[in-house]
Amino acid sequence: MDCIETLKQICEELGEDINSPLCKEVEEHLRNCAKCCAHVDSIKKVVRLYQNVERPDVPDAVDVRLWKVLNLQKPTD
Amino acid sequence: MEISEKELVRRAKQGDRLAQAKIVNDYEKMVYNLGLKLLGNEEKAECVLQETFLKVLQALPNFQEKSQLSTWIYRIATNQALMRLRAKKRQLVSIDDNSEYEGKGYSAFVRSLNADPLDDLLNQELKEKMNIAIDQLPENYKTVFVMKDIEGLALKEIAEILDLSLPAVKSNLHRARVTLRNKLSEMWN
Repeated sequence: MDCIETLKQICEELGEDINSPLCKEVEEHLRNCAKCCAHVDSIKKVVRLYQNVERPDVPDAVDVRLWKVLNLQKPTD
Repeated sequence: MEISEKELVRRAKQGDRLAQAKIVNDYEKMVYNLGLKLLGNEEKAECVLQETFLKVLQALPNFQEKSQLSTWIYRIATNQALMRLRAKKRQLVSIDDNSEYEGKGYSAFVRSLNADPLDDLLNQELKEKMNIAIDQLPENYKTVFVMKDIEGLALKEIAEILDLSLPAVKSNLHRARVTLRNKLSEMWN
């Protein structure tokens, strides 16, 4: 785990600047707390798993029905 | 030549069919995937897709342009999906289900993540478990999680779409992530 990246992520979620007193406190705590590090690490990995979920294109048949319902011509570009 | 969003909306509002088609073309994948992830069902995702764009085209003349076009379309799509989600009998997860380190499968789950998480994406069983876990999330967690961690929207935009405060979005997102982690841990056992 990249600690700085993780800290940035935590601070972003907290709405804090990475150099804010709160983020400094978080950094200090993370440095000394294996339990919190493990927690952050596991959450980060779950997020990564879901971020890698494929975003499928609209299936052709669904696409055809959509344009028909809307009575529009799909752009050809 | 590319035209600005403002010009595209202006033309679409005036009934320009090419402009309307461009809007649908630009956002159909986004709407379909939102419906698919929130409802976990291709047929229902198609319904959301059709209903959203019928509504978008109908409501375009009244679009005030106070938000970005994408945010406005996302809001309509989310409302359509949530209406269907609420109608669907679903298994509720307690919002207090926040035990973070306990759970028999947690260690095994974390070990599997440490082993090679991205390769695991190829594993159909894992994909199914991920889909089940997300499907079981309470609606308010699921919506925020899908928008932020799968669709990649900014937290501020999510707050605007869902008409929630930023702290509420962050809180729901964190609870969603922890709940998902715990659910996947349980399933791994």
